[in-house]
Amino acid sequence: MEFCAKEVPGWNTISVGGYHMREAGCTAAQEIAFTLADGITYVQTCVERGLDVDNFAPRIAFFFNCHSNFFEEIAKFRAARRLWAHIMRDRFGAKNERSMMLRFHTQTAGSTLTAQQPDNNVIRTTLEALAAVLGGTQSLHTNAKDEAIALPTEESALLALRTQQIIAYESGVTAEPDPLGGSPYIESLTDQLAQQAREYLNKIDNMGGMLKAIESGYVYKEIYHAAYEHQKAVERKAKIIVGVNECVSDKALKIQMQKIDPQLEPRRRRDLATLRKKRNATKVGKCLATLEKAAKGTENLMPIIVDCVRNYVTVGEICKVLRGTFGEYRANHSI
Amino acid sequence: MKMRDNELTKLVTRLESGGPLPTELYRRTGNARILGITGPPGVGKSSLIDRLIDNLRRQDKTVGVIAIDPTSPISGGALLGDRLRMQRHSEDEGVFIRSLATRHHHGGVTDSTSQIVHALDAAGFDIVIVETVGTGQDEVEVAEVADTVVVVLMPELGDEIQRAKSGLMEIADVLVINKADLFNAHAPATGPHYSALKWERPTIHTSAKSGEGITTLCGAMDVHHAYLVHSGKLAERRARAVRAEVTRLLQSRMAASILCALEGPQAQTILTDVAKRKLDPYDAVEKLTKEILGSQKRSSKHAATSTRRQTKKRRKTRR
Amino acid sequence: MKRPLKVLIAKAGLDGHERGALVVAMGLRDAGMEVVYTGIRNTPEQIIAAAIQEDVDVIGLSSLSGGHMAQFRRVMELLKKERVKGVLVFAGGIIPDDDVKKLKKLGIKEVFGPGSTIAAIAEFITKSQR
Repeated sequence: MEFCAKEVPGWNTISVGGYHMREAGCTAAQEIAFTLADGITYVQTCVERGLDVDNFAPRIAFFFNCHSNFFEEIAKFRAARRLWAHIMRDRFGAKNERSMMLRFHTQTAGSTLTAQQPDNNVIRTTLEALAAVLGGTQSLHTNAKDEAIALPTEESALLALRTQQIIAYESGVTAEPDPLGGSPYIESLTDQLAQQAREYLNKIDNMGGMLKAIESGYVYKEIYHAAYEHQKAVERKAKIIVGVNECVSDKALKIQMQKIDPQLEPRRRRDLATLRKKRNATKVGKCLATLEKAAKGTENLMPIIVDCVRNYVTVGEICKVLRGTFGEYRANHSI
Repeated sequence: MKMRDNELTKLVTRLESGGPLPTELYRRTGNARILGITGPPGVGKSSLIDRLIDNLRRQDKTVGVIAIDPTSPISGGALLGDRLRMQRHSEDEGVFIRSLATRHHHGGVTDSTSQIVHALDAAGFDIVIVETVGTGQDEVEVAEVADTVVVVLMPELGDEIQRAKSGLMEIADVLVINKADLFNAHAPATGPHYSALKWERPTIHTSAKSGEGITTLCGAMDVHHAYLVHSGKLAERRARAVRAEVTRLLQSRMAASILCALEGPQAQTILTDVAKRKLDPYDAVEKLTKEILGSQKRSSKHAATSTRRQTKKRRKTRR
Repeated sequence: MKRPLKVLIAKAGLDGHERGALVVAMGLRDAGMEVVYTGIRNTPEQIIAAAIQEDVDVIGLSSLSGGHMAQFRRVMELLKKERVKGVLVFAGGIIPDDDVKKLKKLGIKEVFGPGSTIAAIAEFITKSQR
């Protein structure tokens, strides 16, 4: 972020992700809170390194999930936008309006797709995509109907793309920003979610910030407890999943499935071996040594990484050096 | 891959279910150093042990670990998650890790912990580590098993944990403040005052995450062991451990005898007499005690020749 | 007292999708089993070493990344090589039907796909082991 603020000011530096946490099982309120808490940590770190908040914040983007509960999801995006604006203005003293804007990408929820009756997934994805658009997403990824079974086929991926194109071009829902704003139901849902997320954020602040909350195992535990509660609710049918615990059909549907060519791996290995032979080994060694030295200090690594890549150092080699220096995250499980 | 774990693991399972430790094996025990690691939940005991294993293996010491987690009082099941943090040592020939559920035993360890420690000791491990459940201040039974008790805490603990601390502090030989890095709590500038001649409980700041302080901790545990040997306290502690173990076995044996005797025809007559007010409960206890003690017989133990052979093999290969 | 069934739940290979494995681990605990959870990114060798040291009755393998054939095959080979007997192995995750057949031939007794319930998994284990 520091590097880009100077060198590539038009680049969207980071996409602060919440998608994975929602997929792992957390609730809508937790998704807002944990994602924004991550965002706060990034901003805080940059500010501590001496960057002016309005210099880099407008380039931060977010990445959310869109789950199955239609109105809750719309309210979730609205609540997240509101909270982020307040955080940037009040906590970080941002002056530039663009610093306060929460711009985000959305992907429909892979975890809501079912292997049973896979055609139903087209409907699920459509509803989720619509909720994301009504919630104001800047960009959208719609899942293909076969993703609970395998990687999508060309055909299913195309259908997923057409789904969002129909929403974009035919439905007219994109004509007006925040079209549901002012609806008493949506507003009260937004307030509720904002309030719940704020409580989580306060709790995380009291724990000393998101890094400490993660390392203490708190975030992990919250996510998996929520996942387990969801599973139990499905099993006692407090939550209905069509085709799974209700409206089940005996007929097994055969669908066409994507198969990955097993020759892909050896081919890739060969390419890599060729690259390693052709490149300048002395330069590679020097680059990696410089990277390791810098990683142990406080210097910005980006120019060094760019130099590494220019000399055909592989991403794997770069990561290995960084792992060796920073260590690797190991979840603190206390279930 | 380790082949010879197969037999040890089966022995541990038998012990866990209340089976006896073969006499031959017991004779081989007493060589391992037994470390107890205890402390409230979430302070990072397992991660700390993971780091300790690294350090001990670098010194070429073999390590057996018993990691204990609580049994759910409702389902009777348990989630044994300690191993996860040490799993990278699984394939190391010099490391054996076993997770146990308390199966409703209170005190921080399981019914069979002493016996399983003996099994690992007899199998030739240099160091046996017992990680307790970590739920409360009454978890002091580990002091009856271990030579050195390490109590692990972390900075900025809440009220609940401060209360738990009080009981634990009494059994601590070494105090560890883990996750020191997370809370910017750093070790005091002066070194701890302890030596093999005089023991003053040190407080050591560690970070299981970065590995900071682990060498210091290992050093302190070594010095504590030397102190125990020099001062004669090791023999004292082990005598206490034996007494505690025999007491526990005796109690459970007696409890079983009592339950068994109460099922007998004579006991039924006595109980009926008490119900009819012909006999008072105290006289009934007198009569029953005589009967129970009279029926005590020494039961024979199983010989376990295969396990014995196994142990010899491990000794050779491990050292 | 009868020993509760002891189950190892493990994820092999480079696969971070942990939700299913964890939910199953918690579910089996609540079904009265003792569950050893070894987390993500285990090698087949580590899984077998853990299964031996923990003396488990059951091994549950999870995979959602497509690596199941290579990883699970190796686990089954090692089980044989280490002469581990009487251990029930089941699997779960995103596993295509064609592969399910192959895995069953390798000795994996059942494969639980998306939408499976904890109740069904617990029942399968109890029925197979008692």
